[in-house]
Amino acid sequence: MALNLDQLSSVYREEASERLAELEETLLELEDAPADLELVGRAFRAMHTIKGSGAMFGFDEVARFTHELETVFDRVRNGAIPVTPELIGVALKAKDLIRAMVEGAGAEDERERATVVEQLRAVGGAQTLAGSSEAAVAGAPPVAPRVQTPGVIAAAKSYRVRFRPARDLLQDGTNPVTLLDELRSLGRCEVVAHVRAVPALEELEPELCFLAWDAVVTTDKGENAVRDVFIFVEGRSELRVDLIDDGGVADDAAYKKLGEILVAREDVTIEQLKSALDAQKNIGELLVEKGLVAPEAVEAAAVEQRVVREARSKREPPKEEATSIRVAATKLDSLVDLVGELVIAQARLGQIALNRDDPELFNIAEVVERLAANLRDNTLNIRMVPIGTTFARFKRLVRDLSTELGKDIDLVTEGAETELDKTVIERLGDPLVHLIRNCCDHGIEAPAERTAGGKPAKGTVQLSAYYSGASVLIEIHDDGRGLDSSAIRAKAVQRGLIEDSARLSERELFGLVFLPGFSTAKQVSNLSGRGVGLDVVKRSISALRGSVELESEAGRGTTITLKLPLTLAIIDGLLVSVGEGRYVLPMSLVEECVELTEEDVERSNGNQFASVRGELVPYVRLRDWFGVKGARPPIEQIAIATSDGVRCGVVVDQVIGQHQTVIKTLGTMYKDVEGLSGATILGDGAVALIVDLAKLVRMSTTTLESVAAEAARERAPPTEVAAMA
Amino acid sequence: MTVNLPATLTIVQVTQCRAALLEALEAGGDLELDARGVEEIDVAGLQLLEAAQKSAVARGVAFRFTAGGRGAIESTANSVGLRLLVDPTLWREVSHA
Repeated sequence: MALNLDQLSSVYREEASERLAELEETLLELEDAPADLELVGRAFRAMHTIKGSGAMFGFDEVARFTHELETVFDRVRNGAIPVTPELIGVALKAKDLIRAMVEGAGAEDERERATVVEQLRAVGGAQTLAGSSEAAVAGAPPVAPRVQTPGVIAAAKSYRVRFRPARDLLQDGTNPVTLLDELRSLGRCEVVAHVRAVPALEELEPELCFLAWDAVVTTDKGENAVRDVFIFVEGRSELRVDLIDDGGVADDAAYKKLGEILVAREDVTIEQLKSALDAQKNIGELLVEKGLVAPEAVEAAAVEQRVVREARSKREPPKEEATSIRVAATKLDSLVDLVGELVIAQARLGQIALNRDDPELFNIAEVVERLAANLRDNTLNIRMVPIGTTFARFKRLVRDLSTELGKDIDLVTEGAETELDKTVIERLGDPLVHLIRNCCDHGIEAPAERTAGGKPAKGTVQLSAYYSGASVLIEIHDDGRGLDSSAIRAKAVQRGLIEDSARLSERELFGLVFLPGFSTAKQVSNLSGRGVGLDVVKRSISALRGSVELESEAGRGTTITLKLPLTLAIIDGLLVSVGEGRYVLPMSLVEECVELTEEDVERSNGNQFASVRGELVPYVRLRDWFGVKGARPPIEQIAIATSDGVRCGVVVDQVIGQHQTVIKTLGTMYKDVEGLSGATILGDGAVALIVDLAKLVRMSTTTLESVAAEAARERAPPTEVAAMA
Repeated sequence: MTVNLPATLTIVQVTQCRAALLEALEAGGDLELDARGVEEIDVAGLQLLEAAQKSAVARGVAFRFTAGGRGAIESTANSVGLRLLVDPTLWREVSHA
């Protein structure tokens, strides 16, 4: 089977994009820890891979350009030049240009690339680069420019290299000849191919690679240089590089006695080995048979070999085992869909089993229920991704913003391992960018202003994520000047959002900044302050069924907290009924349920207010809202919900109970129906509509606005500015 | 039976070449490969020859190369440490061919 070029290119794009992300992250870490050789190595390896596979897949320009970057970092790795902020700056710029090229959008960047190349050469010392760029694209990773720093001549060491390529090595276009030639260029090198795994012609799949290699390399260039040779096949293949001290440990020497090493030391001739291999017999047995070695010697060697192998396999972290597999997101989505259907079908089965007095059916229904629940949890778990991947890109953002704004800002992240649904993380990116920009632009003061205010000149933006029940909280905190409540007030009055005389708590004032078109920035910069941003943030978070909360202290800083559900596929709901119909209210918004009797209704003189522990709460009847026919029951229930800082009751006939449910989207036919956010199928097969409580509260309170505002003012609730969608 | 190996024996040709080799083996008799026309061979090609040799041994027939034309196979086999294919005994038959 032959892969076509398009497929290969997309494989390369995907891989390169991961390597580029890794490179960026490493570079940023390196800026904080310029002496960390481990990081330098990691950056170098990422570049090497991008370059190498770039050349392999025909991305010649990428390879050529990356080579320039790599050359500089090779010098860094060898200690010839130090890591400086300029170096990191240029490297980051280069990385962006590489990304553009990989994505196929970099054609017009040519001049910029030339500039960056010049800068790279300036930082790296031009003499190492002259004329070497052509060699880089010839397919083979260049050996010539790998300059050994003068004066730093390491002692020659021997390494045993065991290379067990992935079966599809050749199909990827990798040429082992090139790899081994490069290995040879490092120093004295003996290569032995293992042919035992090669099947006979009848069984051979000729495009797969059944060969494996062992080599002993003696070089003064270090283990890194040896590993670098295999850098772009390492991920899929098994590679082991062991340092073998000459005349070293006893059992290590015994380990060498078998197989290929016998040949390397000319203990056994090639012919003998050949016949041994042809016969597909144990080499040791054959050697004994031929009277070349004493049986004891072979046995001892075999035991020692086993011991050493076991010891080594224990020593080696099981890197290759913990592999991951790339799956298209759409496949996952359809899996989640199917599991959702299964859970619903299972619920129906459970219901039927309950109603029939059949112990066998009941048993099996129980087993299915348990399995379905496990399957659902596992499936949803597959979609969970650590938020750290998103955090990494903000490091770069803050770095660039600091430079642009002339401020010194540090981004501290916490809880990068917190996991969230992939969709949530993807849609979280833009809102977080807005918020962090705001922090850097408006929140953090200029260094001079900070010092004057008795703060450290360096500002800090803290981004943290942690679990809280079935939600994840993401906090963006800056230690800047805080929000200016009088400025917000003035702006709100000017915009006609509030009356001049309105009495509003500070929290409510802060809530205003999330309204569309609201910005108090005196100066509009190209980063923020155009009045777009916070309202968009609020909308995006609401769309994720999350909420935004803002706290601020003048002179001390601002904290914005985003509260997000762990997953979008499941909703924890309160199942209620109105007439014949059933509805689900999102549990996260429901505070409590109270009874509403006929007397209560009469007492309020036709106003839709209920007295909940002495406090007046406006309510809306779901029955009226959805135009349900029929008479009201004498005792109704009010579910009290809080949304946008407004408490509001939703009156239903009956509260059935808590119901965790898989959300199904309403068809396009119903996408314009307001007040509903989805549907679910109940155990008995009936459909229950999921009520968009936030929208419902918002729409119903507009008619009761003044009263609601008054009620809100008395209690000064937390500025919960967004909620369920 | 003699099989003429193509000028280029790389991953692109191995499937086709394998069929030819199998056919020769099925026909019975020793397997002789004429590598004189081979200009380029890669690891997949060498692996194919290895496998052919294994099959020949398994069927109890001789496996050898026709005189001359060792160059391409030898240099690639050497560089990947595949010593069996450059074993002179395989090519010894050469002299009488």
